[in-house]
Amino acid sequence: MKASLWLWIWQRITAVLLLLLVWIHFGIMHFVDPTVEITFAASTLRLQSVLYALVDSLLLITGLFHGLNGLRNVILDYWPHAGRAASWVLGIIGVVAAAYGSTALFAFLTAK
Amino acid sequence: MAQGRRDVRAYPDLNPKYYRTGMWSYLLHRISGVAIVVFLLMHIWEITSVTRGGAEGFNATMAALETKGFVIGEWLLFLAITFHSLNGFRLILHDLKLGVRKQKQWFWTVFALSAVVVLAGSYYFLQKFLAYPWSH
Repeated sequence: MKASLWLWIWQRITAVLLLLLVWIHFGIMHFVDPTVEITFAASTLRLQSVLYALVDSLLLITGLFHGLNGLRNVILDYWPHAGRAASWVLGIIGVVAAAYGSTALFAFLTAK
Repeated sequence: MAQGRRDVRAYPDLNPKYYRTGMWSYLLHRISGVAIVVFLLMHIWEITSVTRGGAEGFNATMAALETKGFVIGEWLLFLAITFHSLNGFRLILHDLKLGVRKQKQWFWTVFALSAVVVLAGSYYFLQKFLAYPWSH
């Protein structure tokens, strides 16, 4: 199967996952207690539950993939021959953002 | 840009004046999608304040973001993810050959449903908007 078809399929797989993950995350952050202050202590407590740590880790990876691959589709609409270059640039941005983002997750998971 | 204008003359469908349902769906899906990915990258930067400054850095960043301006931004994000979620769900159903012949009606259903969700959810953002100052 061609790489572009895999990207098409993964865009849909991550879409379905994100429908669940984004709304769990957004619901907890904005609808449970809208005016509560976001603090290191409260975030640590939340992230140290296995389920929520899993939601946020998956959200980081699937969100970056879906968003950056979507951006690649936009770029290809204007520069049809930029596929390879776009894959490299966006791929590097994605890996760096995922790695850097997981340092924050790690900080909460290992906090006392 | 000159090329772009010529395209609009050659293809009247590209002129918003002549947009039909599919073009509005495409445009809204694209604008909301790009907005969400830009937010995601800023969100990663804001949350990694914990990597750069530890607990104090994180708390200071979160406190600094508690202003009316950022609540407006969050509300716009809510708008974008509501429409992008519901419209994306519609697109996947069409990919699975469901409801393709009624795609126009399904788009307007998604549009109306988004409006209902945004209206209902706005209550929570209004609480926050009223509670926070314009600036610190």
